[in-house]
Amino acid sequence: MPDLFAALSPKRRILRVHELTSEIRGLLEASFSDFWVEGEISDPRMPRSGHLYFTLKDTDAKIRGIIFKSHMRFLRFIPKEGASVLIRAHLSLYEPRGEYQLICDYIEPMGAGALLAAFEALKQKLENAGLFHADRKRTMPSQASRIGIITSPSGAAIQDILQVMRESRFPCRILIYPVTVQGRNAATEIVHAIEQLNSYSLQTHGNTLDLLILARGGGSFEDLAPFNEEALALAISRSLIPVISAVGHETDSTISDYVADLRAPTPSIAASLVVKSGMDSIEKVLILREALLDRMKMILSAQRDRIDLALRLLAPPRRQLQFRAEQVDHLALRLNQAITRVIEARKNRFKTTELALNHLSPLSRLSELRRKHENLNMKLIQEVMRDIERKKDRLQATMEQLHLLSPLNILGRGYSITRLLPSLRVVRDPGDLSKNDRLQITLQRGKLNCRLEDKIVCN
Amino acid sequence: MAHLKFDTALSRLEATVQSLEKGDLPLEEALKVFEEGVRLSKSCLKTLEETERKVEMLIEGKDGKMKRQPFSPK
Repeated sequence: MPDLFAALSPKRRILRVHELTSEIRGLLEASFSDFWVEGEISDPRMPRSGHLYFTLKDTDAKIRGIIFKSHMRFLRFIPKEGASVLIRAHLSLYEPRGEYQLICDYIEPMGAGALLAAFEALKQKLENAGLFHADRKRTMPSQASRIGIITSPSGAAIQDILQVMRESRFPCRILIYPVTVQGRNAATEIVHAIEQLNSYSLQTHGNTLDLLILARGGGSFEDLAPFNEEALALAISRSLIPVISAVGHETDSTISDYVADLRAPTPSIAASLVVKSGMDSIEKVLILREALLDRMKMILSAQRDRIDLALRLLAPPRRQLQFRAEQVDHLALRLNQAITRVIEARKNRFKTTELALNHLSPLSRLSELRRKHENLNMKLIQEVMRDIERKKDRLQATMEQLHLLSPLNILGRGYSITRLLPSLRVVRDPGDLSKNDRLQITLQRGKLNCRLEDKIVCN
Repeated sequence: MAHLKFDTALSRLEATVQSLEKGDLPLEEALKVFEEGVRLSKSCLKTLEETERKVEMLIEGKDGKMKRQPFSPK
């Protein structure tokens, strides 16, 4: 009866199929968001989409599962038919088909040596990718003075390393990047540490790191799992700074050992290698410096020998030079003499020529002219003298004529000249005279000084 | 020269010794090479002498900046 049903559920809730499915999906996803499940792989398929479909089963049940394409690259191995696996997954529901399925996040082989198998598989994968290739690896610095160490600050590894460094007294700076080296987060932390130390080394000028050491003490295979993770392997291969992997004991080997540029069996051996390489390189420098000095000494002494030899070879020419010098002196002497002789000869010839030339010389003509001139002069003088003589004669004659007219001649005839003294005025008129005047009378042969007694004036 | 890497300096030092060992260099050249070698060897040993022994820890701060601090083993 409808009413009865109506009474029991006053309001009917009628779901559509997709609503129901959606609710179931919600419940499933919430309840099974992250779990581990083990089982056997059955019927794996990979269609064009690139997703991997499979069925996980055990003897009593089976469940569908999928690995999305985007997750495939994180897998260490591709599960095959019948493989026992451990899967980390969450549940979801594919609504169009009403099927719930495992969404696989992580898958690894199960059973005995499952981890080892995974390890081998990853190792193979990385080897195929060329990560272990010697060509890819960075060369170790022969002298690492700045070293980054990625390890647990409280672990044994760092103590071992520091002890070796201390004992060796090797001069280096150590920069520790603390990480956890075990457990789920270890790999992620170590990857981060590698990246951080690289960027730190790039950024800080003067703090460039020469080397990174990835260190961890010994442990079980499971303990070392972080060092077998692909992400870490890739980080090591990306590092710009050379990396030494020093994980576990001698017998342990990890993926990081293979990828690293150098594998050290233990952390203390890693430190020893660094120290030894450093010491060796210093020794090498010292040896090279020694060789450099020796070589230079040899070159110099070889040069000195060459100079000595040259000097010895030069010695005889020196004597020769002396001989030559004497020769030169001798020749110079002879030359001098020769020149003197030549000069003498020239002189003589010159003299002869001079004599010969004298006749023609204007000088000789000049003296001739001079003589002529002197002759002429002489004649001129004689002429003048004769002229003077003639004039003298004429003067004589004239003077004789004059003498005839002279008063003195008149005096000779008895005439006299009376002069008044003291003026010696010739007296012409007795009127000009007075008694006792003093008079001088000039006669032909002398003079008379007289005193006037008396005067007779004629009219 | 100051930031010449040790290994670069070392291999150049080796080269100088080798070229001196060939012995066919004129004296002038040989002296130049020798001086270069001395310089290189000094630079190699300099890094050594200048490196101060120190152990530090690099810590990433909350601001993402990295800081060095002295390391004291526990």
